Formats: sequence, C-alpha cells, structure tokens
Amino acid sequence: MRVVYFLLRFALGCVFLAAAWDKIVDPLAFAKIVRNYQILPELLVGGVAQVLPWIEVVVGMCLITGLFPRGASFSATLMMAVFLAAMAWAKHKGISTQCGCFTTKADDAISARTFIRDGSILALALLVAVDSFLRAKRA
Amino acid sequence: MARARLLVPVWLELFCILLLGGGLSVAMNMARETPLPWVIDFAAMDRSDALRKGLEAVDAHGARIMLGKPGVVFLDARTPEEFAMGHVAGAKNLPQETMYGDLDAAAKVLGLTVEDRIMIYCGNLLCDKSKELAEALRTAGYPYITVITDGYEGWMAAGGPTEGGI
Repeated sequence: MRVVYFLLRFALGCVFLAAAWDKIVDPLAFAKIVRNYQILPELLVGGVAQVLPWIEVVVGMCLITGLFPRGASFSATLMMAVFLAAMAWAKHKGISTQCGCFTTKADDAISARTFIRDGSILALALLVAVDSFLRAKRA
Repeated sequence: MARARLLVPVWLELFCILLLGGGLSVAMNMARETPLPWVIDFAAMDRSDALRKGLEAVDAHGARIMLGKPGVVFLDARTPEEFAMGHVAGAKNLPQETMYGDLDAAAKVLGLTVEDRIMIYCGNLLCDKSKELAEALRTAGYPYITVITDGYEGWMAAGGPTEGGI
C-alpha cells in the first residue's frame, strides 16, 4: 500500500509541476486567461496569476518529496475544486475561454474533456489527501 | 522502540506552502527582465494594444452609446456560425477571414462606406479578429474604425441589446 500511496502522490506532484510551467513562462498570457473568467476583480488578477503557479510548484515539489504531505494534498484538492468550480461558472455564464489549466496557448478551451481531466485529478488529489491524513493519524 | 515523530500541524504546513509560493513568485518576478506589475491595468493595455496599431478602442460600455447613431455601423468579425448564435443588435457580419480575399468588395456588399464610423468586435477580451480586421479595413481605405476591446461577451455583460441566437 505504501508503494501505491507513494506512486499516486508522485504522479499528482508531477501533474502540478507540469501545470505550472507554461504559466510561469508567460504570466501575462495566464493573467489574461484569469481575467477572462470574470470572477476576480481586476485588481487581484495580476497577483493571483503570478502567485498561483508558484504555489502549484511548491505543492508539486512537496507531493513528490513527501514534505508537508497533508498541507500539500489538502492544497491540491482545494485548488482542483476551485479550478473546476471556476470552469463550471464560465460554462454557466457562457464565457468561451481558455481553460488555463496546463497551457496558456489558445488550444485548451473549456470543454467536456477539460472537465473530465480536472475531475480525475481532483479524485486523485482527494485520494492522496485522505491517505495522508489517515497516515498522520496513525503515526 | 517507538519512533519519535514530529507532526507539524496542518495549518502550519499550509502556511509554509503559501509563504514559499508567495516568496518564490516575488523573487522570480523580480528576476524577470521586465517584471510583471502586481496590479495590471488591463484597460490601458487594451487601449495601447489598439493604439499601437493606430486604432481607436473602447470597451463595450463606451460602445453602447454609439449604437443607433447615424453613420455608425457595428461589424462582427466572428464566423457566420458564431454570428448566427447571437450578435449586437443591428450588427453586420464581416468574418475576419474575409480579409484574405477581396475585403473591399465584401465591405461594399455590406453597404459600408468610407464615411462610416465602424465599430468592430469579436468574441471576447482575448480574441484578435477585431483588431486584425480593423487593420485590414483601415489599409483598404476606411479611416474611422474603433475596436470594441471586450467583444461580444463584454457587450452582453454591459447589457447591450442583442439579436439572433437562442
């Protein structure tokens, strides 16, 4: 079970690192996508677009190394839930925007595919989080 | 022998993650050749983007007061399919792709004249079709052109009248 837990955590960490890369390379493009969701006030868009990818990096690194396992898996779950809610909001409002999930380029529009992909990552994060908390309780 | 284990509270773990992420973002932004401002003036960015191309730009709120005025034509740069799904009331559809063909002829078919104040829009803040078509039209000899920076989505958010679609 230990190996399975490690593999799941490692995989989730890699997903978060991969997701952060494009946003760090082109923060302005990511900021435009965040703005296009029309959820945050414009004052906050720049800050969120810069801090969020680095939180993803830290969470990804923590998941891979096993440092702060509960904090990292909880953050991962929370972020995925927020991302999914934001996509659902955009879909509901009829805003045709880029997902801004893994790339800032214009080929990742919100669709059933992005919902299934992010939903699966949320399920994975939830699994890792539950396991991390249970392990900490047993320790 | 029981293994002594130091368990950090969850809130402290979360705090450390936030602090590390925040710190890294500040440090890495400072290390950028041109640091991104923490508060981005998007309106100014939209305007400068259009002005750099020599075009006038307004947002949908500003464009609303132009609707229905004599000599003002609203032009939708999106595809006919998107246009059919809903557009600015009274707008004409001139898909951006037209600029690769005989744009002047297409504009004349729509009844555009060089005296018209042409208000061009596309889907949203991120689309470039309106700016590209605006540049092409200006080159084709239509001098009075304004880009609606936040596009049809901005128009709907501003409560502008629409027609077509569901």
